[in-house]
Amino acid sequence: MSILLIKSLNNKELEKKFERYTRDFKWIRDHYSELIKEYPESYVAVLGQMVKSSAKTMKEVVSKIDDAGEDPSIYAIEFITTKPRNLLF
Amino acid sequence: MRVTARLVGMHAFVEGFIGCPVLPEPKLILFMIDTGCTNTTILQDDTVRLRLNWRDLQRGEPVETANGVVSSRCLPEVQLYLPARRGIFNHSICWVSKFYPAMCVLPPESDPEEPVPDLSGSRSLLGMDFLLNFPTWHFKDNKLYLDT
Repeated sequence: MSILLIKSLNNKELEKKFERYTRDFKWIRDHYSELIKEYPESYVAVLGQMVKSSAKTMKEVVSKIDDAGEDPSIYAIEFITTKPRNLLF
Repeated sequence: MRVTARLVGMHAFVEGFIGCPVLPEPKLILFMIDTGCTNTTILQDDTVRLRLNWRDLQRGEPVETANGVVSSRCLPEVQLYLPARRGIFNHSICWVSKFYPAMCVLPPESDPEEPVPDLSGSRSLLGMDFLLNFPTWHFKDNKLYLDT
C-alpha cells in the first residue's frame, strides 16, 4: 500500500476553483430534473451555477468553451440523460 | 483521516485535482469510486476535457475492461489531491495526496486502431490503489465516508 501525504495547498486561487467546481456539480444534481427537460442526452457545461454551454458530445462542448477563450477544465461538465446508467467496469 | 464522497444513485463521487508536468496547472477532476478498478484511471471524457494529447503520451500496459482489452497511455508523475478531514472528530480540513509515477489514461474516442468501448458520460475512476488506504467505509445521508 502506498503512503498518502497530507498537505496544505497554500494556493487560494486553486482552492477557490475547487469550491466552485464542487458547488457546480451539486447545482447540476439539484437541478437535474430541469436540465433533463432542456438538455436531454447532452453534455452541459456549468460554471458559477449557470449552464454556459451544451452539446451532444464532450468534444463539441469542449470546443465551444475553447472557442469562447475559456479553460474547459474549470467547468463542471455532466452528461444529462434520462436513462439510468448501470456501469460495469 | 476521512475522505467524503457523495452518493448519486448507486454511484459515489469525489472531486479532486491532479497535477502533472505535462499540464500547465493542476486540473480539477471528478472521480467515481470504483473498487473493481485496480488503478486510478482517467476515462475518455476527461481525456478530452483536460485536452490531453493522448497520442503523445507514453504507451501503457493494455487495460482489461468489462468490454474487452483497451490500449492505454500514461500521464507521467501525477500528484493526486483529494479533500479530507483529520483530527479529533475529523474537524480539521486538509488535502490528502498520492503520487503516481504513471496514471493510466484511456483514449479520447473510438478509433479503428485503438478500439475502446464507448464510455461517454462516464467518470474517471478512483481505483483500489488509492482506496486501499481507507479500510473503513460507512454510508450515511447520501454520503460515503472513507476512513483510514
